[in-house]
Amino acid sequence: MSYLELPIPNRSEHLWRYTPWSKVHPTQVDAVPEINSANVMFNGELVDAITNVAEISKTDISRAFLVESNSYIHNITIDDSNANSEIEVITDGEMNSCNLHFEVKNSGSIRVRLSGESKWFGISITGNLHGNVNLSFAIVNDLSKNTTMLRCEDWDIARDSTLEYGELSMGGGRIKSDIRTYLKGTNSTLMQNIAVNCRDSRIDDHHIEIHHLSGHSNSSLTVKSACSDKGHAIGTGLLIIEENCDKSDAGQVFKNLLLSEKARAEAIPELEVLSDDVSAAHGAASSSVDLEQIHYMMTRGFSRDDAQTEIVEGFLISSFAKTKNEYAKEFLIKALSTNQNEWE
Amino acid sequence: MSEDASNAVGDYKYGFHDPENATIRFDKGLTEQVVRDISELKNEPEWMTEIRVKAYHHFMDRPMPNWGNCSMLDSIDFDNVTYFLRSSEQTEKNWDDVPDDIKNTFDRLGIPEAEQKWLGGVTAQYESEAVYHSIREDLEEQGVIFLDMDSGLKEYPELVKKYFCTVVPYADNKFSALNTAVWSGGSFIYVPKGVHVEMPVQAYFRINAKNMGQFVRTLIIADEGSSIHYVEGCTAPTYSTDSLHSAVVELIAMDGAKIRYSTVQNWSANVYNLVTKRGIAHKNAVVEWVDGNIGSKLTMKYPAVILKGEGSHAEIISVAYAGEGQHQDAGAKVHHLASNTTSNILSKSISKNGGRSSYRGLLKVNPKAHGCRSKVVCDALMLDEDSRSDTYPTMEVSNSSADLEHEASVSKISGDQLFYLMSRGFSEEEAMGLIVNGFFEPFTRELPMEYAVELNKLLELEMEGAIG
Repeated sequence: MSYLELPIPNRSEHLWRYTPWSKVHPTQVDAVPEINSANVMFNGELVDAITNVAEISKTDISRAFLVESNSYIHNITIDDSNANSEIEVITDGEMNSCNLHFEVKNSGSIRVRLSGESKWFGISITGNLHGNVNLSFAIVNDLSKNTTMLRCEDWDIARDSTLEYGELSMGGGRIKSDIRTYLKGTNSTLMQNIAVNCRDSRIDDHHIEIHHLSGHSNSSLTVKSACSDKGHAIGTGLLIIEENCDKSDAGQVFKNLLLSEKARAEAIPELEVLSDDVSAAHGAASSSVDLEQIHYMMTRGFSRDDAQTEIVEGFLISSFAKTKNEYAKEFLIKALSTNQNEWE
Repeated sequence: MSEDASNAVGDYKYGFHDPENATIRFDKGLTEQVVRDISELKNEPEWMTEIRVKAYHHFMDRPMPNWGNCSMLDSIDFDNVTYFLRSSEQTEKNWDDVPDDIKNTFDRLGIPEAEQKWLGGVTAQYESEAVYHSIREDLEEQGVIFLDMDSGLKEYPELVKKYFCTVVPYADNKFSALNTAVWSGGSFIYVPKGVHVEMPVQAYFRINAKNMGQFVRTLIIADEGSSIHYVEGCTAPTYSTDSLHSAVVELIAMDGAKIRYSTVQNWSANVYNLVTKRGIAHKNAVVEWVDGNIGSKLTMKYPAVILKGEGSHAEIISVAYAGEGQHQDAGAKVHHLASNTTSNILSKSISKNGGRSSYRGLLKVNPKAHGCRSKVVCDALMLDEDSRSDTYPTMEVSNSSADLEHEASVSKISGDQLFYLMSRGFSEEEAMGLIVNGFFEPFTRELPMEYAVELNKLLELEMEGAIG
């Protein structure tokens, strides 16, 4: 079905409960404007988009909209020649979008930075990990604070492959991210770590789906959000272990740190398990900064505000402590530290 | 019993039924006239008729929920339900005066025996209305009101009017609207200030007729500093066609009061059990739901507590057993509206033979509720590869001083535990039964002894044939 044939989702739908579709559509919900591609730099060089001929599922309204409003795509293949790649997506103007597809044939890392000043930005990322590869994917959202972003990601992981996924989300004013991973092969693994920093009146809505479609598949998801001022973080996770996926191992953890009276956080980690011989667990926690930690820092000369800033930075950085790929780890931690320093 | 019914309900031991000896039976189907007729038959005050009619229109206008097990919900044929059936002309206070066939049914369920031994009062409801009701004299002397809901409305109309629909408004959801429109029976309890009802009071709900709709309404008010434990049990016979139980329970715990509401639901596997249960806890009050779901075809039940007063506490313990063809969609909801409120939720579920169990929960902290604490634990066991277990928790936190935790796990029975027990002489089936009883132990230890023993027996019965 095309975008205009799909029903507009209402708030009774789990995915759109906290962020109505109308808030992340760039114009009126019954329109599909033509949107130009953002500038994409691949390892320092500007690359052109090509006409999108790939068949993308159009049962989801966000995905249908992103594909129909921009019929161009950047296809990037990861092989021996570019094992550790860096991508910069720069947006400008009223509306901008970008469709990225990664064909991952060899192990390596991809670092993506989103920046720019456009009022609305849409991005669709698809990735296909071939068998027996390890990919470390790191993405930093450093958009202007006036930007509304709609993001969809779909990752397929084949047999014996691992996706190490790290995300730092701190830019933009209103963010709707929908990230879905399909563990399609035996011994496929996803390790997903997401850090969210919501300051001012930033709203960050992350929906993360993990589908175990094969036995002996593994996934772990950690989402850590720090909310200050009027920041609002929403984390919804859906972990599905389909039938005949025995020996799968899955875990999800959502942690929220609330730093001001008007900050809000929502955590909805959902599980649907259709195989019996599996290990599946999830957890969620929400609290303020531990006063003992603040006291400890203050007795060592930090002001109260500085102590809190350090603790928050440590809380978010700890999301990436287990990231094995050093390129990706350094990229994420550096981006967070730079942002914190700029903020101060 | 038909072959279909036998297949549907298996070894369900309460599946017997008596011949229907209705004194009044409405035609199947729901119209505004049916609603008005029920109200007129009961000689209700006008305000109640008005609420019923408003609720009826809301029910008709409101679409079915688009979440949960939609295919099962859509298969409910509201036109094939009997909305009112009177089996006895009056509610008896003496067990010997209850009509013989009904008395025999409750005798077989062990109700009078339990009353003599350990209950402070009993209501036995058969189809739409209570057939037997009693309360211990000492409680009555202390001013405790324990009546079936129809008598409560007749004898204490002002008290009912003050609290009816205040915790669960008729427009809360489609099934609360249905219940408000056609409610009949249930319990009405008022515990005066400072009175502690030491022995539990019990209501027992029985559906006997085919395609019956039972719409029980319960209202419990515990005044300041009082306490009560209310126990509810449910069974139905086994037919090849479906019945509907759609209850609404409203609990009001005033300052410093405590209400514990325990349920062991063991409807036969042809009953839709769609229930709205909610309590309000005022300052330093405690509301506890102890909720066991063993039977029914589809249960959708999420006991809720609104923590309205500072220092109030909610405790919800819920277990669910989903066997073949069953979906137990149960959970818990807590709204922290006031500061320094606390809640604990423990949910345990078992899925077997293709059954599906779901936990659906909500934990909400209001912006002005400071220093709230809550912990949610959900554990699920899956006993075979055809079964399914889901967890849908929601945490909405709008106050930075809140401390909330949620954890859930899904697994199968540990091979090590089975091996340990079998190496000590238990068969695999016995070992599995022991492990399941142990898994439900946090729930059973909160029940009165007789209920806990009965529940363990039920689980053992359900576990028969679990191996191979």
